[in-house]
Amino acid sequence: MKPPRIDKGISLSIFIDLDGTLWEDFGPGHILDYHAQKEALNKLVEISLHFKKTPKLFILTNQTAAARKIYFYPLFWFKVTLFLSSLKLKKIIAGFYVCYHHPNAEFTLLRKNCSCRKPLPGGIYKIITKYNLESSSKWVIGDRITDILAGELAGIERKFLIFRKESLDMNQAPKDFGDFKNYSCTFLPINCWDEILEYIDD
Amino acid sequence: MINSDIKGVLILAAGYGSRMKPVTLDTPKPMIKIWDEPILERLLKQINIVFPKVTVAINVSYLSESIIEYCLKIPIKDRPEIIFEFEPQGTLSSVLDYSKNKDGMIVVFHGDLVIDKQGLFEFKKYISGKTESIVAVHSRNLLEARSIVKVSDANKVLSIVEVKTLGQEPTTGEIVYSNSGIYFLNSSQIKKYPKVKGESISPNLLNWIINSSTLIAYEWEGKRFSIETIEDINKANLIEKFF
Repeated sequence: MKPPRIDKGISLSIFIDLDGTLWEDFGPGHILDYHAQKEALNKLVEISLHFKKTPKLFILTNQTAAARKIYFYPLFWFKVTLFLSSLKLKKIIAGFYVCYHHPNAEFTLLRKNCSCRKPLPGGIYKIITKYNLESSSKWVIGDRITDILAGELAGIERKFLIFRKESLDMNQAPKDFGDFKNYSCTFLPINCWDEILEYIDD
Repeated sequence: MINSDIKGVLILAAGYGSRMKPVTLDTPKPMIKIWDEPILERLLKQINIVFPKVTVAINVSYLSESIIEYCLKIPIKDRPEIIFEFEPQGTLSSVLDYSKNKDGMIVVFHGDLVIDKQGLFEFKKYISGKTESIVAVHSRNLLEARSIVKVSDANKVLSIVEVKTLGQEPTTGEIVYSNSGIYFLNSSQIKKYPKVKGESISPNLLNWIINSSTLIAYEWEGKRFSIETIEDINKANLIEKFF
């Protein structure tokens, strides 16, 4: 992993996962936890303050708590949107995309084989189109194979995977995901944010 | 016009190391220590010195955790990219996958190589500006060779034959050229190879290059050895250390 990291004149857009990446993965619905939100806020503020212009940060997340009937969908959608929109309004992030679907959702309205649920790249494409990021340099940071596969399929240049034993577990990828067997990424330790800042800054 | 800049370096480190069991039951071959240092660590250090601005990738599969954990100790600016294979695909598929997003020349190393830095500098000098694919070769006793490379007077490779496919074990010890496990490949060209899972670079890809265009042999003049058997570890540790 060597220079050039960011070509001069080209902006950098980073797609960041939430659960397991900005906070520890405690399962579906943890996005509404106050401490998780505070932890995410601190990390994102640190990144956004570190750079005056780049990178643009985008949250890209699968949230299945409503599909699993842990929360009532409209309320869950409202609270998640409120949290992420507040980050956007404060210019801490540039945008976000949340997939609420699940192929086996208990809540039938959300039962869907959608193209926006990672590892499919639909969510990334939607952000790229909406924010006109075609010419920008793009990274993905996540903690699961699904984050990396989505990045791979969307043609993202740099993919960073936070390393845990489970990171190498193919069972995290959907069973019907064809013969997509390989992925390439740069591994990061669990406490990786100082390194990321250092790397972008270099 | 093909850009001759090096677009990437790939280290092949996904194999099972079957010939080195039981050592490789808990240690992947590139992490075996020679002179108290893992083979991969030495190789990476040398590549970072000789090719300072080139992206390095390692393909991993078998016992990949120890390689990934080692890579996490490398400062992020020098940390290689990992290409994770859920099962080893064979060196050829790994190289083809790697080259599909590259447009230009790539350098490929087998992950069990112990070489000297000066030899690598000489190789870099030789490949500079070239766009033909090149394979490094070294002289070896036929009794020890695994891959015999026949070379013309003009350094063109005429054929590559694996000893195991000769039909009978060689009985005479003549000196032949053997594949050194270091390649300089034109990714735009090798993308055209019909992908077949499980094949190896040598002889499949190399013979395909010979038949479809030109493969140049570069005689590796530096020091080198590869760790192919358990005896090689003991032999290597008796050799005077070089870097």
